[in-house]
Amino acid sequence: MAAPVRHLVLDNEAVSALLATTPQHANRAQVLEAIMAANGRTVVPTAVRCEALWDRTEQTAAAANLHVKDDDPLDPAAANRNVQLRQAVPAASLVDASVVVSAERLPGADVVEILTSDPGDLAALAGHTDANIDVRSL
Amino acid sequence: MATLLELLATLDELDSAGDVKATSVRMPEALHHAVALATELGMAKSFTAATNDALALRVRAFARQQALAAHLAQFPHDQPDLEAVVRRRVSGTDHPAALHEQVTVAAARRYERRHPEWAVSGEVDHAVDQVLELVEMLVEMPVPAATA
Repeated sequence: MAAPVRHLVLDNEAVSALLATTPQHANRAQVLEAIMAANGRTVVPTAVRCEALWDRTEQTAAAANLHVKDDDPLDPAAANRNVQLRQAVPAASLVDASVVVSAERLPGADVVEILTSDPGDLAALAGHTDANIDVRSL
Repeated sequence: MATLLELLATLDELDSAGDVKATSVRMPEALHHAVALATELGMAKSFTAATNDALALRVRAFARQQALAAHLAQFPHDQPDLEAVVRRRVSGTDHPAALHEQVTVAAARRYERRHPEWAVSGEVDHAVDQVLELVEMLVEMPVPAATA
């Protein structure tokens, strides 16, 4: 049987944890577990990077840059889909919807994990897609 | 000396740049023949594409391995249990490891005892694949008939 392919999309809190530099950080350990479990792609929507203040050119971002190479931009197609999802789930924010749009756009996965501190809105948004999304709470 | 950041930056270029550099690679004749046959059978568009795809895959896997090893060297407290990583890998799928949790946990613990360096070496995907294969084998193994 072929090994399952699992992608990962990080939300704001997950990114903040990954950027932390304290020796012990429970949320960062959870993010690393998710990164290890994701044998496909690990991506961050550009909207999440903005909210989490992740500037890839800063020295403090070096460790996070090693793990998450791919940005998913809020391009015109993503913007349209973002609006559609937010109309379906009015409580969701632009950033919440951008996470689900990124998950939806990742091809070739058995499962796409979303790691978030806001599982309620993300699960509601994921319910409006055809992708097999596993919303995990930090 | 090359750094991991340089490697990742070069992989970024690989995704976007179309520049081509001719190179000469010595390879075993049998491998050359096997790649040619596999290409004819549809594995890749051409011999060159097959070679490039395989090399890119290998380099990406190495970069991931090095990134995980570097993280755990800096933050050793972040190391998860292998069983947690394996269970997360198959969560939401119909893989036997997702359906047989006790077998999966036992197989992961056994692997972890025998290969305590599985995480700090960065060879996480190899460790997970080994556990998944073991679980598949154990689950599919016929149960011996009871003797009278």
